[in-house]
Amino acid sequence: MEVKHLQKITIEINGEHKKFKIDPSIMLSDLLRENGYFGVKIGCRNGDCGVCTILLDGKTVKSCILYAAQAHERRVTTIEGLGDPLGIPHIIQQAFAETGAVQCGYCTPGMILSTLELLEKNLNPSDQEIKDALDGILCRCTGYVKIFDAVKLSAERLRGEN
Amino acid sequence: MTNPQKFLYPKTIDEALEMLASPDSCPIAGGSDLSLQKSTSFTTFVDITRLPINGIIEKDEFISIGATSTFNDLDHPLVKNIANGLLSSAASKIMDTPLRHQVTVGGNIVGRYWWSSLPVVFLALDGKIVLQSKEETRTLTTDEFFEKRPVHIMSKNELVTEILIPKEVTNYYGDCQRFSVTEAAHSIVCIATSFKKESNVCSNVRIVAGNLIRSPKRLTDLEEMLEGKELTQELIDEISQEAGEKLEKIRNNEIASGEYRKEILKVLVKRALEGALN
Ligand SMILES: Cc1cc2nc3c(=O)[nH]c(=O)nc-3n(C[C@H](O)[C@H](O)[C@H](O)COP(=O)(O)OP(=O)(O)OC[C@H]3O[C@@H](n4cnc5c(N)ncnc54)[C@H](O)[C@@H]3O)c2cc1C
Repeated sequence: MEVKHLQKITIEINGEHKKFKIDPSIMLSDLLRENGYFGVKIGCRNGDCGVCTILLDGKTVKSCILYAAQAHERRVTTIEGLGDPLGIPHIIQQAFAETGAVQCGYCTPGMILSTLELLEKNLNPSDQEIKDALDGILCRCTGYVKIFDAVKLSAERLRGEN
Repeated sequence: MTNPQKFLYPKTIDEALEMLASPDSCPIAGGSDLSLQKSTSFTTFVDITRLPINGIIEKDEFISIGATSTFNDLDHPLVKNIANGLLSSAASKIMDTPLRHQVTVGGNIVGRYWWSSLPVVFLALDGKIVLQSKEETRTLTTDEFFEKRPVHIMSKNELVTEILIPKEVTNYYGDCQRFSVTEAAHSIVCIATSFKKESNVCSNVRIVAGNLIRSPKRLTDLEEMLEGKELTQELIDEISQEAGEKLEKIRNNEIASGEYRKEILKVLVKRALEGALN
């Protein structure tokens, strides 16, 4: 039987420095799920559907086509990193819930993290800018209308309106 | 899936080239291609994303694009200035936002597939590719680099470190048109064009087709039709009708038939020339 060399890596996940001994061929999505970050979903494993989207150093990437070792000494944010651990959701999470943007919920973590990336740069996005920001994640339930509503509501609230 | 046994993280180019000299190692940039490959003989992946080759800067007569710049990094003032924003706007239309954060320029031109689109644009811009190994640094024209598949052009321990775009093309007219089933899907045909225009006369014309075969191809018959002439609507119609006629048979692929792609090629050549003019 082939004996695999384990590699030591460190990743900052949701603000916590974590050390791992990994099989170098493990994908980041799998490592995160094995360590309890179940908000990272597994879909196509091809980089198509986007349900595994996380933030790497503040930018959305698809963690199913990224080796965990590529995240060594980098900063990862998963959906678990948003909101208050005591149960108070982030403004964007709240807006998604209120507008009915969550149906089966599988794409929701990726949608919310993409919204976060967008709104951190631009609190007044146009429809086209919202479309571009969310273009990496497929939703098969909502038809996207409610998701657009959620992004707009989040932006309003983050601007201090509504 | 590939089976890496070890990742290394060089901080300097020299360190990386030393690591790549070992027969079992290969560079990994965005990893979006390597992670999906069924198999590779390489077991040590040298992560090149921490090297100082991710910047976009001015250098004498060139704009230098570091090989680990991502597609989204091309949304940069220096790049937006090139030929009506040809390169930045093409890059912004390929794939989706998370993939554009991950996929690098170097990975796109080395891990070349039939759908790779940046090679088409770099060839239209008459760019140069800088390759470094432990032994030497060499600069190839895009005509040389894209003539054959990368395995026949570069050795295993060579690293693409930068792509140089001549500053002269900054003032050229240019446009890129791609056609895909959905915006984020692989493109079926891609056309990039650039030319100089002085007193309405076009010169240094490049019309490049891609996504038809693995390497982009200059449509020299069309370029000759425009060279030294004024670009009028009549000439655009004439050129686009000729598009693809001199190419060897365009094959069917899993998305579209060869016949269909040839028709699309004509339409895109027309749109690209009109786009460049406007
Ligand atoms: C769902 C999906 C859709 C896509 N659609 C498109 C599309 O429509 N158009 C398009 O153009 N691309 C598209 N791509 C991207 C493309 O298929 C490749 O995945 C991408 O170009 C690889 O870039 P990378 O930086 O991730 O390279 P990696 O996966 O890191 O490397 C790819 C290869 O290049 C080598 N390499 C990387 N950098 C260097 C360097 N600097 N010097 C020497 N060798 C190097 C590696 O050793 C490897 O062999 C798509 C990808 C996905 C996942």
